Amino acid sequence: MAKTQLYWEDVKEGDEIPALKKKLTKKNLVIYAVSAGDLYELHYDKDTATAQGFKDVIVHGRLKGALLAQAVTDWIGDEGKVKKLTCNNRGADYPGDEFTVKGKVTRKFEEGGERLVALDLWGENPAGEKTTFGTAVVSLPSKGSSSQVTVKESKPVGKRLAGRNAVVTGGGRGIGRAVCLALAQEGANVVVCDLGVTVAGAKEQSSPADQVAEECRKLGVKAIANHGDVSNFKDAEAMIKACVDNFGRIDILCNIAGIDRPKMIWNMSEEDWDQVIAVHLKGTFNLTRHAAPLMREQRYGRIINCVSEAYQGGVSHINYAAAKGGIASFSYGTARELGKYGVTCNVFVPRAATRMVQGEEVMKMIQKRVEAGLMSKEKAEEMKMDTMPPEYFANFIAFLASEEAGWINGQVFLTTPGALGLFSQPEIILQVRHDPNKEGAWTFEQCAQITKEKLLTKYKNPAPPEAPKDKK
Amino acid sequence: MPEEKVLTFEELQALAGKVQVTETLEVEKSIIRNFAQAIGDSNPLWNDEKYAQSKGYRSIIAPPGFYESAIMSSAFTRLRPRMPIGRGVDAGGEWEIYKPIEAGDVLTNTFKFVSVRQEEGKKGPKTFLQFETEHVNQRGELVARSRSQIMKF
Repeated sequence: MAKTQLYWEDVKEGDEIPALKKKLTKKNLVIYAVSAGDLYELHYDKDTATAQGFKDVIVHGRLKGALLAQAVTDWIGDEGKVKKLTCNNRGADYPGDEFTVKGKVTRKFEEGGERLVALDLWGENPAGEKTTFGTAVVSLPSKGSSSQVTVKESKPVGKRLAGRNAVVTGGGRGIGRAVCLALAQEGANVVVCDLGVTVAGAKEQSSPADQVAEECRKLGVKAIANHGDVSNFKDAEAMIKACVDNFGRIDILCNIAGIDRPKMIWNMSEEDWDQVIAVHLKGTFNLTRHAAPLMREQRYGRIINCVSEAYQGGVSHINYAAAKGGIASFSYGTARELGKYGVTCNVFVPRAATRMVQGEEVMKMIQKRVEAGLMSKEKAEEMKMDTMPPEYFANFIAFLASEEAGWINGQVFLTTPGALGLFSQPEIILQVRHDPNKEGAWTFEQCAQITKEKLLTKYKNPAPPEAPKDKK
Repeated sequence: MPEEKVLTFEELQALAGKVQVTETLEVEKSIIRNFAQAIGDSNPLWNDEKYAQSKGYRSIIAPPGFYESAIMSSAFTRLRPRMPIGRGVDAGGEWEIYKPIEAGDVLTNTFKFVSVRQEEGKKGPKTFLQFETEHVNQRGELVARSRSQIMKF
């Protein structure tokens, strides 16, 4: 029988879905085993099952997953679509027992032009114990739309950011400028923020922000320049306010402004540290802090932060590396805090020819790092190859800023003229556990032994000690 | 039956990201109908071809649970012949569904072993293996993706 159609407007967060009760027979399990290709003896041979400590053959975990999904499709009707499922089994279920699937709406939201509902699902055995857990995301038709589910269509070239308003810091030069122009090219209005300073952060006379705003206007969008200092909380507020006051709202924030003061740690001054952290890390916070409440309120936003490969442990400017690492962590957390409000936060890690990485000094620095064994020759060659201008990858930031990229959140991308890539998310890759209630504190010996024998078995010291070089 | 040689954690680590197989799967009407019968789901979209066609599909379509099934996304089962893992239990997974599977579709399924991690448990180390799958139809459209975990014991 056809299912009753469910509409998005009829669903509330907290709603329970109708329970699905199933009593599976052994015949069900056998048909499942064949049609689903799951031929493990545990599901049809009682001797195997009892040998493993079960009282009878057990229901396939993924069959239970399919029942969780059925409870959803029974509820949503023909025009609802299941977009995502998760399933995790925590206990055995037996044929002949009643298995009950229940579910609850956890979230109702819109993304990429689709009306979506997220659910928690679980299956209970006859004793009421939850043996299976899952989640689902479904798209539903709206009463306002035609009978077909609205399919999101890509907007035409040049209009993909039409009606969107952006703030870009560091927009006067280099990567920031390329990003301003890429956004404007797709129809976004832009606040071009640039203080006009040298790479080290000293004041300059010219106003690159004015020039870039003019270039954007020539592309047919509205654009204004802002000459504030991102490291100043009040100036940052004014940048966001300029966007809202002039264009109506803020949809896109690109934190790109940065300076560099390279020194080895033993030569770095307190000021070198403070200034670099202030512009990159505090600057990113300042702008995001003022944009976030507006984006959260309007349930739409794209925050895109600029990091550098230095965050993986770049040498000779650990102030810069630390600031960039800070921005990566900041972005992971911001993505998680704002995601449910339709606001995404992602990171791009660029390589391009800009004044920050060009010139003889930088080439010399790369050479020095190779000679000192701090950088591999291959890496140095790769870096020299990526010396095309940032215009070659700026469309990636335009894409991240679009509605189409609404499904992407909390990710770190490599963007270079020659490569697009993805960085891994930080995760624990190895753990040794014990019960501190019984075993007490880890002893010194345990720490040494576990580190040596379990944690660092395939380890290579990135910078082993060397004998002192003869002074000339 | 001779005891199979089971890979050590270090051997698994060395294989992570390197083992994958690609298989084609012809999704016939009978597979979908049997699957629906097995789970006791009489929804006409997966049982009645005329009804499914009246909804704009070429034939009956696979229910969402089908995407979770072993022939679709159990990389553990598919890769076992290439990497003796020993005993394992399903430790959960997630499935992203992009396109309907209509009866008659020919899917190209790629099964990958992506990573391994170890936790020290009370009864010795627990090893978790992560797998990913990708499913592309005869028109080259990405139909679904999955990520799943197996706990080896």
